[in-house]
Amino acid sequence: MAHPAIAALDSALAQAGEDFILRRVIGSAPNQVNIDVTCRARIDAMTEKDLAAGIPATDLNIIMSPTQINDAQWPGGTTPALPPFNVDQRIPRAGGVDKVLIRGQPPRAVVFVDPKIVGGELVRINMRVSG
Amino acid sequence: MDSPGDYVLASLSVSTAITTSQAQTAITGLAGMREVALEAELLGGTGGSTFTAVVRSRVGSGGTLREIARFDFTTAAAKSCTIVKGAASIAALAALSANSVLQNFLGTELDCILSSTGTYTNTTFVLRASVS
Repeated sequence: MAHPAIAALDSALAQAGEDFILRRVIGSAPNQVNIDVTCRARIDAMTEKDLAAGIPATDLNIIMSPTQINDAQWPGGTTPALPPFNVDQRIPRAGGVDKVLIRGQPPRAVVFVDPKIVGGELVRINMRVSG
Repeated sequence: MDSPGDYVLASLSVSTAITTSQAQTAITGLAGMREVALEAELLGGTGGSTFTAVVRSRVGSGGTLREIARFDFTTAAAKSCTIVKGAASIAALAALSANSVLQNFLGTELDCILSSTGTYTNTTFVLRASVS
């Protein structure tokens, strides 16, 4: 049974969200592979507060649920690492490894990620994408 | 089955030799799996010597991982695929030889172990599974 916070977020996103593709890029060009998962999210432009803080107006804020990531077991099998390097692979990464495809536009890079972990469970991911 | 769909069993950049077989984290919750299509792809494939990926399955998290498919690559970009089916017959469990498949054993989890020799450059490996 899903965590109540996830269930509530899923319900809200079902009504007010949209689908997008979260992509992890493995390898260097031209020998790259894309690991995609279609997720549900609320996607918004920057607020006046964000703009005043110097964040580009072309960036987008994304609020997403971990449900689709969990269902797809994205990004799949990975080489396990020992602590403290055993990071949760489900959490998107800033810095060019992860991208999103929104509304048929070219891929945007994930530049900031703020995962919400409640009681040891990933319940929500806030992130900012650029490009 | 519980969770039909497409999964990635492994995806990584390949460089230095993987001398000790490297198990990837497992895809779990596949109860009722009847068939799995596997596609292994080595992109680039320059500079190294051999690269091997063995797909394994087991019944429950406490079961023994059994080899069900093995893909072998050398020094060229290549793609291999196979289909493993569960069926009502006895599967003889044994380590697999190069580029071979064990039919009739599909548990509730899938994972893969990787090994390689030589140092590959700008090479990527991906192993996808379509489970039904």
